[in-house]
Amino acid sequence: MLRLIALVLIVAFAGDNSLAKLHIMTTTANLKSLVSEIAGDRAEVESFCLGPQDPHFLEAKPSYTLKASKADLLVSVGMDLEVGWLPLIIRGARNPKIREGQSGHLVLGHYVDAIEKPHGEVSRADGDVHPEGNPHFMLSPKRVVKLAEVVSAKLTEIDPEGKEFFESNKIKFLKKIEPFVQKKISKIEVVTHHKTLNYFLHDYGLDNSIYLEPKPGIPPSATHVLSVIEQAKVKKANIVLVENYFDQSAGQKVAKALDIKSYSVPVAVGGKEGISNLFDLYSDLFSYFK
Amino acid sequence: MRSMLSIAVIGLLTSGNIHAEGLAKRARGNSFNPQIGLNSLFSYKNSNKNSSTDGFSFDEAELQFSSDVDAYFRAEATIAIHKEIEEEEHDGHTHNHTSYAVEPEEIFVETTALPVLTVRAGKFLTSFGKLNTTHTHALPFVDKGLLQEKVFGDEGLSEVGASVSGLLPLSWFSELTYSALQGDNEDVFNAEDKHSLGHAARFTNLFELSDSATIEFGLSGLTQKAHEETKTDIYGADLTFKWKPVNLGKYNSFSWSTEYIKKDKKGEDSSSEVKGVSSYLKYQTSQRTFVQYRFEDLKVDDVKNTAHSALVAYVPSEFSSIRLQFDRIDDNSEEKENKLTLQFNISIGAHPAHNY
Repeated sequence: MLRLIALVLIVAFAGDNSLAKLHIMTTTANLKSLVSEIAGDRAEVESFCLGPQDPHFLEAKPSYTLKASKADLLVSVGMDLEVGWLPLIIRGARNPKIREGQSGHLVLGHYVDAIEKPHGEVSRADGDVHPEGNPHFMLSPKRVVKLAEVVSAKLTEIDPEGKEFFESNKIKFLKKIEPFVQKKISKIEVVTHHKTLNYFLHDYGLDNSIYLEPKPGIPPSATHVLSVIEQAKVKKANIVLVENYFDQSAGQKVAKALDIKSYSVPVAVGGKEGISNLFDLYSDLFSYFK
Repeated sequence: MRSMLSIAVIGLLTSGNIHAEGLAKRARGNSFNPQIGLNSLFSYKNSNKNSSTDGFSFDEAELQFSSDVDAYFRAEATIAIHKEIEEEEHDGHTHNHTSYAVEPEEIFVETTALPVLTVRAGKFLTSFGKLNTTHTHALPFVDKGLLQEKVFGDEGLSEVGASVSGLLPLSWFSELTYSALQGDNEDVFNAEDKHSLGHAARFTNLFELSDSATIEFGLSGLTQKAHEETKTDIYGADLTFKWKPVNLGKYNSFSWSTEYIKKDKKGEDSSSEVKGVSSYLKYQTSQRTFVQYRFEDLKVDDVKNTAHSALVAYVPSEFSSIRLQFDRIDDNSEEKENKLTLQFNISIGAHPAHNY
């Protein structure tokens, strides 16, 4: 019995033996991919939100608290994307380093020139509006270029010895992302569920304006789907792209009515099998715009 | 002439600057205001037995304020405005008199800059079991349930005191909370002596069975002792299983929570013994709809009480919900109680994240 207790204790306390490595938590899988590319093997990077999960509505699982308590750095999107769960995690972690405003918490949204900042007063009558603008910037390779610099600078700040390593990883990353930055996409009319793809579309010259959601965060009703079909017909929509954490049925109805194709689109790394980093994710995204 | 003009222009420019500065100052002033939210509960009730709460009613409003105090502390205040029904004798008849009371449900300050531990002081909901720390608007059913009400009273256990909590250095989530309380709640404490403090502890563990499922196990205890004849002991154990699939988890989830509590309150004037179990299932059938069922079985001073509750909820957004609950309560008296409650729950303003 004593031996069993001893064994349980050893297993329990032997949580991590990689003391030298930095522990980095990110809120989303896309941030995790970006940070891992630059941190390389000097850090263990983990994301709270998994690829198929919607970062707006994650639950504040106590197990996240435990992970945050051991983190040297927390990287988040900000712009109220994680407001429903991250504050509880940070408080419960009892890790003063990663509180917002501290050096161990990097909010990448602060470095983005946001699109769709609401003009004038914001009201919840408009649905799930983000007063600081659209938070889905990680889906545009063009935005990520600048963020790679920000991440590399932050990593150097908390781990100065890794400076050259992070710098060379950043250069490698920027080289790999360059072909995506240079890509052109065909001018097609897209229907999406939420405003998730708007940075991507905006940055590559597309102006998408047909959404399955009547307002951000509000699921489409049957009558709204009919009005979307009308809109899509008028604008001659070519394709329906439904982010993979939403129910696909409304998108399929619209696609069927217009005799076009509807796809379930992964919007985060790990959102579909075979998408294991940002490059896979962007390749997949561009494939719909050939 | 030219100088006159330039003076006028400078005047205009500076007045504009003053105006802009004023705006900036005002905005800056607001940015340090606490986050403010209001949660309100309205209902329509009908019971075959206890008509004093029948009809439309405004049950409670919770005003919540929260903010960092400085670089070391954060503070939270929840002021509850709630309905109170008092019985009055008049010409030999009893009348129910409804009034509203304003009470501090919680007002506390806690540390933010300490590593490992959180120290809290003030008046706060005691960490005991799964439900006592849940605010009224976030309860899984329209009421706390018989077990909670018989053990802690209508408003739960919220006492003035201090607590220390921390995560244990284990490979799973394991949290220990100790609270020292100035026991005033008459449903729980008997001791008159201000020096006999209440002590409460909660130990909770959460295991991830998979990315979609967790199981949480908690033990709680509370004790206060003035002398051998005047003392209170409460013990509790709770077990919660939660499932929310990684794929399309927005549309589907399930949880099952069971709690056992035993209270033994001894005193010269009033003694009571309560023990029992409360268990509920919650199933999310679509993004906005839930069906729930609760069963309670307890003994209050050796009298058996059982209750079945069924609830359907329509939740348009995180900020509103409409719930219909039916209760069938058997407290071993002649008549069983059937109760129907339609509740409307809204939140405006800042809405702090809810606990898991």
